Amino acid sequence: MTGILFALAAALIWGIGNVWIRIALQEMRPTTGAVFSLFVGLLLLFPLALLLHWDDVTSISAGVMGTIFLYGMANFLMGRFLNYSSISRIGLNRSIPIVASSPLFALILAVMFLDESVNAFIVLGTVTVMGGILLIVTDRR
Amino acid sequence: MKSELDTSRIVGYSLAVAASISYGASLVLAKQVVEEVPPLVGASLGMIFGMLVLGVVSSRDIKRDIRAPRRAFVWAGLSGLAAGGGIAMMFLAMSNAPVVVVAPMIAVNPLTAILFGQIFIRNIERLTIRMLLGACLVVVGVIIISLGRNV
Repeated sequence: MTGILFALAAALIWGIGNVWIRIALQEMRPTTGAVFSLFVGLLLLFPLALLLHWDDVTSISAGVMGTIFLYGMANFLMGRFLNYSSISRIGLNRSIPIVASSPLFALILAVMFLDESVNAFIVLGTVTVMGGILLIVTDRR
Repeated sequence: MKSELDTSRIVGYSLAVAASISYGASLVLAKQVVEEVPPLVGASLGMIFGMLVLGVVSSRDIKRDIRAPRRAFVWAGLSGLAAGGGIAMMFLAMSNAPVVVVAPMIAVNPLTAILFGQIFIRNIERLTIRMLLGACLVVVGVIIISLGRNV
């Protein structure tokens, strides 16, 4: 039950956070919004990471650091910047559902590079996501 | 005028798809990162790298935006706190429940964004039945994919 409550809290917090950035982006560029939001987010997360996992932080190998760097580029540089740029151009309601389809692209990459297998659930989910995106993109109003 | 609007929308949708692909790639990389370090450490260090590189690349934009109204920075800061807080909550959720339970719950976040958008910024966010239906389909599809990957 605790896990479910934390998961729901995450969904709610991310939801309201997207509204707040939508408001901010009316008066600042997506790049600035992304850098500033990352800075403030770090003020919350990095001390927690140091406090709880000091030994892990101080013993990371160069190879793992390289993977973390690539992860940071994909998620916090490209992902967040492109996400905010999209919100700035087409608004929250059109952008967020499309951005939220990322597990579909993760799956495609995992199938391509990690030999992950595809089953009936995955095919059904993919068709459903594509249908949803199509509905949003073809909305002319 | 209509053509400009269409072009802007096409660019906006392309950016959203590109963001989704980037986040998708980051999910694949995250899987490798969390095999080596605790998720909180991976996320924090990844944020540092992302912030530093984006800060350098966009330094000209940031200099121009220094004169932006202070309230814009407050909203962006709150958004950053929410993003960081959401990550912390997600890790707490995953340490207290299996992924098959947590992933579908987290997948509803586009709907919470739309809901809060309708409550707080209805004047700047137009919502149509078609958009809402599309968002619901995406959420349902993502939940089915999450469950399918954990079968």
